[in-house]
Amino acid sequence: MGEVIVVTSGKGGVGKTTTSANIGCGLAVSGKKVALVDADIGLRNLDVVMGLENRIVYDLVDVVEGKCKLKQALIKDKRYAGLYLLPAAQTRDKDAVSPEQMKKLCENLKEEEFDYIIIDCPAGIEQGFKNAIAGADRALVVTTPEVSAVRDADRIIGLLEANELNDPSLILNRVRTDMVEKNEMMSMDDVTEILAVDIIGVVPDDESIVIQTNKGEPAVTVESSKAGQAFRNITRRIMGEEVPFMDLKEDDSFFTKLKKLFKK
Amino acid sequence: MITFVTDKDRNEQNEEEPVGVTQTGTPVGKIVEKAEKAAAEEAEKAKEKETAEETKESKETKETEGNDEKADKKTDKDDAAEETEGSEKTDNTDKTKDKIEKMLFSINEHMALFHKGNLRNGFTLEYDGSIILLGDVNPGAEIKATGNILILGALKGVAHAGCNGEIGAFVFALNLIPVQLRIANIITRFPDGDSKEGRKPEYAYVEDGKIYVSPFE
Amino acid sequence: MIGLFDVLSFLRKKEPASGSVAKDRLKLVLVHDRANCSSQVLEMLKGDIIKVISNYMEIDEDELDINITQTRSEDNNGTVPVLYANIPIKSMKRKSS
Repeated sequence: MGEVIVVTSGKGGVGKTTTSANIGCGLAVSGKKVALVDADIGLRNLDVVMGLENRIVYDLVDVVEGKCKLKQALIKDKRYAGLYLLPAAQTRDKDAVSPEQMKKLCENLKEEEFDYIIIDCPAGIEQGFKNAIAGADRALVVTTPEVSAVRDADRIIGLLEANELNDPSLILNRVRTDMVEKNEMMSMDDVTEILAVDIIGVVPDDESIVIQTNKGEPAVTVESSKAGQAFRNITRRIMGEEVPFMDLKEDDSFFTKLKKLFKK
Repeated sequence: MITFVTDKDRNEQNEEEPVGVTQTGTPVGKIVEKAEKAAAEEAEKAKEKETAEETKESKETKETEGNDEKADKKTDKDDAAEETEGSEKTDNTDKTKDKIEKMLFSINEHMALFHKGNLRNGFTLEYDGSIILLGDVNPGAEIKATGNILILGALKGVAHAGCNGEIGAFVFALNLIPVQLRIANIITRFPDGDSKEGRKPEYAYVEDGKIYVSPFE
Repeated sequence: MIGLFDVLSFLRKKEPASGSVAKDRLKLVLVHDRANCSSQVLEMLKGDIIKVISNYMEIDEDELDINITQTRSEDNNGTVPVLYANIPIKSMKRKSS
């Protein structure tokens, strides 16, 4: 039986879409059958991040309205077998779909024997958010170590709990290790203390994310990418493996050690 | 000339082939090596353009060109299966000119919408008839007409001409670099490796169930 | 040059790092946020406080001011959220028994 995971955040621009794409790819690389669902109707982006924008004929709204079959709208990824994308409609708005319809859609996707169904939630707490979480079994909350993002994450966690999506997992994105070391940025421990939820991954701020997004290829597949490694770990944790948190430190050269010694 | 191979069945499209749309034709320069005959014709054609005067002789040449064109296209299709480079199809013949004229006047000749302004992401312009757009169609925007579509700007989004099934419809743009192109029930997309820079005005039309793109001169 | 700056930074008066500032500010903001329409909750709290205190003393209900704010914590340099109440007393009630 498949699991429906919603990737949400409240605040925009913290990396929901990037996270969805990377986790989806990561799971597919591990041999799972994955459906990525873009629930951001009217502002779709998962298709460009995945590099599948020119293959869209039918979208989520077409499926919901019965204009096409689910299988027709699912776009098969060009790189990984078992990875499919259900794109959002671009020319409609969020009211075109109801939570009940989304619930039904998630059930239909489960019947297609997907192991994981990843829903990319739109920013905000309005209709689009309600649609995205309607059919979800589990939630991943993405945040960055900034006051605005953490505050919104707290609100989202509250709303998820109100909708009986308990125990969401937190992904702390765009962490700058150098700044955390100087205590100029909140650490993983700071954020988990404030939000009081389980953390499933810490993703460093990494140029490779920008580069890979430009290319339309998620960073999770790039062996040398630190952020990619972080997403690979998250993927394994989603599948139930115990993976230790990786060391995000830049380098422990003699010079930096010396510098630290002096700071104490 | 660029040839788009069509993909009617999306599921099949998404299966093995890396791309549903394969670029079979290549820019003029490359193909000449392959078909010397075509090269000779090409040179002749260029001369014709220079003189601008159409003599009876040149017309005859053109007629033969037209025939060769057909033959070439057949090899084109065969090549498409093997994903090799197709051979050159000469453009700018009387035949294609006639065809455009025919297209222009066959579909809803009296019905055309004139629209000024850019179509941005998320907007759809739909019309029962032909559309003349003075502006760009941005990525994420869609322009849809039961007739022809003429874009006096760049087509960077999706265009659907003959959306009621009119196979004779065409799409013209000063810069034809669509995310996706649809004519009647045929869908293609821009070849992955193709340059989007410095393109000349082009038009897309359907022949033998495939969408072709030719420069418009 | 870097070394020189490091030395200078030792001489400067130490300000709390922005990471800790962010954490403290967030804690305060979330106290408000989690109270869910905090003004309403505060009004209810105000009513309850008046009720309890009125048993012991006569207070000026109109001048009563109640708020959630922050104060410097005693053990470290950070700040902690506090419930601040300013309750003007008109007179003490005499013990009946």
